[in-house]
Amino acid sequence: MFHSVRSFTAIVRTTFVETIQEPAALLVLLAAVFVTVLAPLFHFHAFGEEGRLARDGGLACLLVFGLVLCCAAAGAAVRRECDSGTAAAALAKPVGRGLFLAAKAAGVVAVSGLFWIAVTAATLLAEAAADHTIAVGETWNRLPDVRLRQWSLLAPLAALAGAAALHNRRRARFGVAAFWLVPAVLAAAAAASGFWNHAGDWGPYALRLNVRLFSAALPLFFALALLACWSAALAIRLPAGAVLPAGTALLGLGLSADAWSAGAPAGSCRGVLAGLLPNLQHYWLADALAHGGAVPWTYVLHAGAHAALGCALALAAGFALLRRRDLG
Amino acid sequence: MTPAIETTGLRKVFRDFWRRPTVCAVDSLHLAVRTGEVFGLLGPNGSGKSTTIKMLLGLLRPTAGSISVLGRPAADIRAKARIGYLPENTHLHRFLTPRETLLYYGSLFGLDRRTRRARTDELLEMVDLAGDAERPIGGFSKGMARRVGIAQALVNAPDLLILDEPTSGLDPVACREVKDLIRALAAGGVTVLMTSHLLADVEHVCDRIAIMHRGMVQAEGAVGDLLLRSDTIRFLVTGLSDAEAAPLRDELAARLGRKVVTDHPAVPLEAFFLDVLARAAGKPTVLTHFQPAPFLVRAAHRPSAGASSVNPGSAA
Repeated sequence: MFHSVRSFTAIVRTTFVETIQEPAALLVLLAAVFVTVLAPLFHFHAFGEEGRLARDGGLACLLVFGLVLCCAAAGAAVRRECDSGTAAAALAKPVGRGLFLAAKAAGVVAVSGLFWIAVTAATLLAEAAADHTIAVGETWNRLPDVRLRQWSLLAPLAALAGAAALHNRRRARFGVAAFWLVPAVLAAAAAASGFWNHAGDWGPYALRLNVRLFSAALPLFFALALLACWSAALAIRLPAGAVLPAGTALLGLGLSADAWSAGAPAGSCRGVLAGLLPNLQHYWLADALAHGGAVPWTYVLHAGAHAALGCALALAAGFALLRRRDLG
Repeated sequence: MTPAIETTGLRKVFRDFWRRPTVCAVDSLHLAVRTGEVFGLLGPNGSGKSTTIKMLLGLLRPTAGSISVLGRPAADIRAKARIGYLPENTHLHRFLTPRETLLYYGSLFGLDRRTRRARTDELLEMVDLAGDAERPIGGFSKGMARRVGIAQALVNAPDLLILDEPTSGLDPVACREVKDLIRALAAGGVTVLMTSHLLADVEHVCDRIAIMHRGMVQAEGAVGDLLLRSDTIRFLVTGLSDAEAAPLRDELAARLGRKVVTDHPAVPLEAFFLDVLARAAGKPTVLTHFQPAPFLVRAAHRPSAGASSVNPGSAA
């Protein structure tokens, strides 16, 4: 038992470090963060819902960039390891194939967790920094939080500078340090935003962040975990480059599941497909936050259980493929 | 005694994506490696050596036949816990350092933290990488990466060591050390199965060999028995000049009525290379036992075709 736990954690840790030290992973993270925090600067039309636009944009970045990260990482972690021989080297040790696949998927899920923290923090910052539209007589004026915008943009840059300093002073791997520091600094910047108000006046700490966002962002993490597990399973048979298109197709089918599976009898092909493929509409809950709404935590828990079941199904399918696969 | 490795009628046919057969890599392989011996698997490229090894480790599924490794089926986790494996190409995570690599593989064997660390330090010292233990392997030369590979194969103090081309990419000094290590491990009771393209390596370290071709064993037996030329006698005489040797050779030829060949044995290049390095490092020469050059006399039932592959060590 302890042996399995040690093997599992060792493979998870190695997969995690292997994934985040890839320059492409850091680029995806930075692209998602910068698109999210820069979005409020490019709202040229005042609809009175700038905060919502920033929030929805951030959640969309979380899903789309997260999909790219999970699929690419799972493809690299599983398929490239099978091709390069490192998977064979590990499986020549007393490690079961099921445990190996589960640990690989868990490593990618852990990376998506760090990605989720960074983009959620960026979304919180973007929403808080979005223009407040105020009516002055018959005209609408927009009031930006300049300081928070500066902090939002400087936080990832400060994280990169910190990673460079760690690389220089302590020979830490730049990619790994940056992937840790970006979410940490963004979260710290979001937490520190309570020390001033929207007009930029310093004052006693008052939370300005929309914490309701978590109940909509957490299901997206579950969706990413689901995509990571399916990608890991697909990577056993598909080349690494084909995993991303396959994951995108899965996302498309999942997001449109209600449309194509509506009214399908349970025993029909569509019905069976609807039962097997993840219905990602269950995880996209951005609209529920509009006008002060919130997602009930019981729903979030159920979504988590649903995702866990989907992950188990994906890994079981992956194990069935890996069990018969020749390695070496 | 139960053999450490036993295969019966082993066959492996590779298939393409659509499950159509492409090549038969191993066919009707019967192999038995005794516990405690060093067994060499030889053969040209594509003869099925690495495929056989991967089937023994459960990485490839045999198309037919049975495998027993340490008394258990291939791919049995309990058997794998007692096996050390060095792949043909050193497959290591390029971003990990040698220390992290050994700790990682130690974890896969379920070693506790203290044992892992102690074993890692010991192995890094053994493969002479203690000074480079914190550098990522991605920046290593092939030989250095090979040393890490050898260390990871020993991390669990295995009962059975499977080495696929262990000296590939190593310089002569490291080759010698690896061969000495293999002999030392065998002396300690470890069973070793190795493949190599360098026949001299196999000859020096293996007790028994099997030669494979097109997936089948063509010859198998003890190295001494297979290489022995029982129809030829060799005399080794030191301190004899060419002038002194000539009448002796003629007299022997006349008395036996057969052709007698004399020559000066050559020092193996490996021994000469190691001697040059030893002398450059101010150490005593390792070739003293070859001096003065011995004079060799060989008498054969049939005319001998030359004497370029004379081994003075075995002649004595």
